[in-house]
Amino acid sequence: MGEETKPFTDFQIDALKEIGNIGSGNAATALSQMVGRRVDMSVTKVLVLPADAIAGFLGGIDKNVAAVHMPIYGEMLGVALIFFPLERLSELSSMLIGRREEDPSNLSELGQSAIKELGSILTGAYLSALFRFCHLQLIHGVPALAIDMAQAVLDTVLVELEQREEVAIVIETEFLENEKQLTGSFFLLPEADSLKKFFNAFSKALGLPTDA
Amino acid sequence: MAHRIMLVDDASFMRMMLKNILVGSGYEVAGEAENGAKAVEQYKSLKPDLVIMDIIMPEMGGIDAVREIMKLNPSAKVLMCSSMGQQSLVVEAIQAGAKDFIVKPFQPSNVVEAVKKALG
Amino acid sequence: MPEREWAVGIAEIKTARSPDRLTAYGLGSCVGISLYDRRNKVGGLAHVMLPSSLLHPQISVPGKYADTAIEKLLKALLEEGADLTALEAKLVGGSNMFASIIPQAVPIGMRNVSASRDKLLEKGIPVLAEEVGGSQGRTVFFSLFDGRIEIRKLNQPIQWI
Repeated sequence: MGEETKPFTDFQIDALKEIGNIGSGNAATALSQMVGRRVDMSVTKVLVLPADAIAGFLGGIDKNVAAVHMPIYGEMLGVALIFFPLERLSELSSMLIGRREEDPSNLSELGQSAIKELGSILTGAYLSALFRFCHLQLIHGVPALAIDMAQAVLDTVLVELEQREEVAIVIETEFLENEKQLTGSFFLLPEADSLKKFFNAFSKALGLPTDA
Repeated sequence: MAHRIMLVDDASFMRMMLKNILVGSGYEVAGEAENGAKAVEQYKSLKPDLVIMDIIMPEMGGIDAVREIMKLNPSAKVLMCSSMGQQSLVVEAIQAGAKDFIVKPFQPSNVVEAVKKALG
Repeated sequence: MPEREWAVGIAEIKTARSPDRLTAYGLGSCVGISLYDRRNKVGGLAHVMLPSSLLHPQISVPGKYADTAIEKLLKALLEEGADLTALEAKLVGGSNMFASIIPQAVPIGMRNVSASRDKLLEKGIPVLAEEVGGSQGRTVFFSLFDGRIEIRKLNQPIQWI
C-alpha cells in the first residue's frame, strides 16, 4: 500500500466526534427541512475503520444496504458513502416524496432521486463541518445510488480507490423523528495518497505535530 | 404575466421541490433540464426570465453552463443552488455571471426572496 | 468427511479439493476466476481487483491483478497435483454498480473480465461459463465436488453455472 496507516489517538477521535456533532447538527436541520418535520440527530459512533472491517460494521457481509456514493475531490481525493438500512428505505423515501413506496429495492425514479439528494445534502453537512475544523476544502460530486450487499458496495469502492487496504472515517448517526429511529452512517474514504494530507490537516488543527 | 423560470438539476426530486415552491408563489416553470448541456440548449428556445441551476451535475456542471448562457445572453439571470460544503464553487459561478445563490435544502421563503431579488 | 467452506477475500487466491467449497462474498467490480480439474477434483478461486499488473510498478499483492493472480493460482494448483492441461475456467463478477450517467470508456468491472479472458486464452484454459457485468453484486460458491458455481444476487433467484 505504501504508507503505514497512522492510528488515530483518542484525542483525534474526540475531534472527529466534534466534527460529527457539528455535521449532524447541520444535517438534522437539513433533513427536517427536507421532510417538513422535526428530525433530531445524535452521533452514536465515530471511528476509523480498516476497510475489511467495514462490512462487519454495517451488519455482516450478507447485509443488504442502500448506499449513496459520491466522489470526493478538491484538497483530497476519495469517496464518500452514506448508508441507510435497506429495510427502512421505503419509509425514508415516503417521508421525502410524500408517496408510499412498497419495495425498497425497486424505488420509483423520484424516490431514488430523493434518496440521492438526501445523501448528497448530508455529506455536504459533514464536509462543511470538517472544513470549519481543519480547513480542508472538499467537494462532493454527483451522487449515485446502489442497493446491494454491503460487501459488494465496499468491493466496488475499494477497486475504485485502487487499494486493498484502505481506511474509512466513519460517523454513525441516529435520526430520530417522532420517536421513530433510523441509523445512517457517513463514511469518508480518502485515497491512500490523500490520507496523509487528511491526517496532517487534522493534526495541525489540533495543534499536534504533522508529518513532513 | 407570471415570470418564466427554467429549473436545472440532475435530481428530479429537487426540481419537484423547487417547482412546488415557485408555482405556489405565482411563478411559471417554463422548462426543466437535468444537466448543464441540456440547459444551454433549452435556454436558446425557452428564453426564460430566470434560470435556477444546480452546481454539480453530470455532463456539464453549473459553472460551465452559466458561462455558456452568459455568452448567449449577457443579461441572463441565473441563480445557483449548492449544497452545504459546495459554496466555494458558488464563488466561481458568480464570477462566471450568476447573480446569487441558494443553499439546499430549500427554505421556501429564502427561495422566493432570492428569486424576487434576482428578477429585480 | 464434512464439506468445508473457504472464503476468498479481495485480492486473495485459494485452492481446495472435493468436497469443499470456495466462496467469494460480495463481488462488485472484482472478478472471481475459478479453475477446476474435474478428474482430480481440485481447483482454485482468485478474487481479482484490477486488470493488469503492468500498469503498476510495484506488485505488492499478485492476487490483485488478473494476470498475476492467474499465474499464482496455476502455480498453487500445480503444487496441489492438478493437471494444468485439463483445467476449466469460469468467470463471475465485474459489475458496474455506480453506473455513471456519463457514458465512459469500458468500466473497470468489464475491464477486469476482459483481462481475465485474455490471460486464460494465453494459458490455453477454456472458459466454460461466465456470469458477468450488470450492476449488481454477486456472492459465489464454487463447489470442488462437481465444479458447479452457485451465484446469489439481491432479490434474484439463485443461478448456477
